[in-house]
Amino acid sequence: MAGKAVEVKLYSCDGEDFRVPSTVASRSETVKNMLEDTGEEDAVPLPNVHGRTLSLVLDFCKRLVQYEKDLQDITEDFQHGQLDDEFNAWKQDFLDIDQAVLYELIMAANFLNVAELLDLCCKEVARLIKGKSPEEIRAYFHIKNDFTPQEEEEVRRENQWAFE
Amino acid sequence: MTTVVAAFKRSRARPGTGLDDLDDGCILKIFSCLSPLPDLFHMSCSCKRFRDLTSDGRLWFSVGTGPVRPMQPPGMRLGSHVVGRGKHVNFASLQAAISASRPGDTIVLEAGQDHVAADVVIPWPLHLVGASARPEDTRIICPGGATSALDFRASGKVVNLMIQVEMGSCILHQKGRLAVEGCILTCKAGGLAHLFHPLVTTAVGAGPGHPTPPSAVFNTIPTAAAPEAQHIPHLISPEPPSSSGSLLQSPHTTCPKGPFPPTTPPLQTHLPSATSAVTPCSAAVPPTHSVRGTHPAALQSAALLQQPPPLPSHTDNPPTWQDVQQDPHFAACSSAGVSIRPSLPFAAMPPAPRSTMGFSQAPLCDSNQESAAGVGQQQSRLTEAGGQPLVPSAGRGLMRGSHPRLPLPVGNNFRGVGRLSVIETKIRGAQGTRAVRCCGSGTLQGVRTIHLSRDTLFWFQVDSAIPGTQLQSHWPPVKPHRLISSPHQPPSRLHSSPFAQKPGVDEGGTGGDKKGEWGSLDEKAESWRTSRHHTSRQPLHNVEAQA
Repeated sequence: MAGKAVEVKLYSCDGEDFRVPSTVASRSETVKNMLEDTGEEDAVPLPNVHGRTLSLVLDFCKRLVQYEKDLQDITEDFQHGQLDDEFNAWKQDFLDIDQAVLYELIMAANFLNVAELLDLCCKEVARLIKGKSPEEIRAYFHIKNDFTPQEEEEVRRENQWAFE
Repeated sequence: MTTVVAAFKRSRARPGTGLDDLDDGCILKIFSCLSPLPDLFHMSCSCKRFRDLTSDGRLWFSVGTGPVRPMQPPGMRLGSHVVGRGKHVNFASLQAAISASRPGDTIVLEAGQDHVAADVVIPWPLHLVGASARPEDTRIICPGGATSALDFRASGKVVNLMIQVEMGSCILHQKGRLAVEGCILTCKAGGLAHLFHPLVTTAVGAGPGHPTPPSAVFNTIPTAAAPEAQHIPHLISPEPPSSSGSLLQSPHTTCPKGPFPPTTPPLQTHLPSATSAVTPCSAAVPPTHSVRGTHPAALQSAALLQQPPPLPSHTDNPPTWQDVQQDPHFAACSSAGVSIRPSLPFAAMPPAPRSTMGFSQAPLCDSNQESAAGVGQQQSRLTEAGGQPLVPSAGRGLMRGSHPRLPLPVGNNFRGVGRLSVIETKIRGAQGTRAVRCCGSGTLQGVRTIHLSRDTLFWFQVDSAIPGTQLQSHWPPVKPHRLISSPHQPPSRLHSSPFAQKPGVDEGGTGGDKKGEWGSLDEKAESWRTSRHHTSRQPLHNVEAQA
């Protein structure tokens, strides 16, 4: 095993600092580019990410790095499926969060450019949307209906072609 | 850190953070995980912002040979559609894009290049859009030998495209609600342009009260026909009459004015008496030569001679909707809890091999069920031109004097209730060519035309669910429907009092509830006419009033 990984320091918008291995921080393309520009010694400020959200993002990155490391270490095929199951179960538990946290996580993943986390969260939101009628979508996601009755009827008529 | 995470999970984040607070990129990312039908459409109905985002071009498929353009500046807006932006994925062919699409997807064809499409089947609802403001910029070319360029077996929309076909039809509509909007349809066909139709609809009604769809099994009871048909008994089609074709017009044409001449016998069909209210142009039985119905041996011979064309081969093996469901992206989506609906009713129908479809020698006449007037004109024209009356031949299908026809697939596999709406579409063809061929049980309704310098702009609908021959008592009485013939041709015997038609909006059609169902078509036609300053063109009824 190689020596201890270099730790980098990340600052959130509310002043919290996080010390994580550079391999974990580099899962974010944004942080990776900043580390390449400024070096790993300097702290990386992340003004758009709340501290609590950043902790979730780093938690996901750590688990992702661990999963990829485990994939490299396995020698039997059946272990591959076992690792996948464990990781999927962990992701399900990870996504057991409030809607507002989920949206903040999406924004943070989008800013930090963590593709895997963004995909995971977007699919979770899509799962919440799936199968709901427009009225249910408005009620569930607290969306204000800014259509006039005429506009709403027009939209429904425009989309009617696909339902016939 | 674990305790921090656990505490944060239990707590609320900053108040006010909701789905609507996400930026457009994130929303589009979420939308890309949704099935277009119905989830994406439901999202578009929730609020204005989501409506605009669901019509964003980044969610569309792009067909073209150009480079992949993941992000482009906003394109122009055509109604509710933004064109000019491509999706992340470029497909080399339209067939490949359709195979990879999902029900409800939009496929944008890049402008400035020709797209080849031969018998491309659209098995689930799709939206085909040309990526230019002018339909001439985006051409779909169908080579000779194909039955049609696009074969719609589900609902769909074709917008802003120019479809050129050598020998066949531009669009074959078999099922579902299809709208052709802002397109240019052209059938070249050399000197046989009158035998081919830019639009062919075979949609039939459903239910026991509707006419039997034309299929390999024919009704042997001859129905009433126009006078010409009665003089040529063997030309009477046993298929149920219901619909008409819209005669492709040339500018400055004459419009034969109804009603029928006194010599026209009343329509005697197996259908209710309401049929008599339908004009001969809209419901009369065409004198159709049917090899299938009258000569089974000829049918067998024709079937043997004309092998079903093979499905278009795809060297790149485009994926299908079923393959897409097994894509790792969707697999991961499922693993994350997003379940892909196993089967949508319209998506579960894969393109069937052509071997399941019967092929028949198409009749010489324009349509099995088109208007008697049109057929009468064509009949006289053919007789005058060739000097050979149409005589069926048991051995060869059609004897000398008849024109060969490409086999038209007949079968009930993909036929169903449908409506074909043609909006602001130019249809080019030789004089006498019919714009639409109605092989199903639908009735041509609500025809609006505006004559341009070289084209005729059409608005009309063919609704198979409202067969004209099965009008019920509650159906409002229909007005005479006019067909328009060329002024250079002598008036048909059916047209006793043709009158010169000035360019304008033809108010022909069956009438019906114009305020309701046809309101949109009327508004579109009127807005189009007004926007282009056609002040000199007056509606036809005004011309009549002045006369």
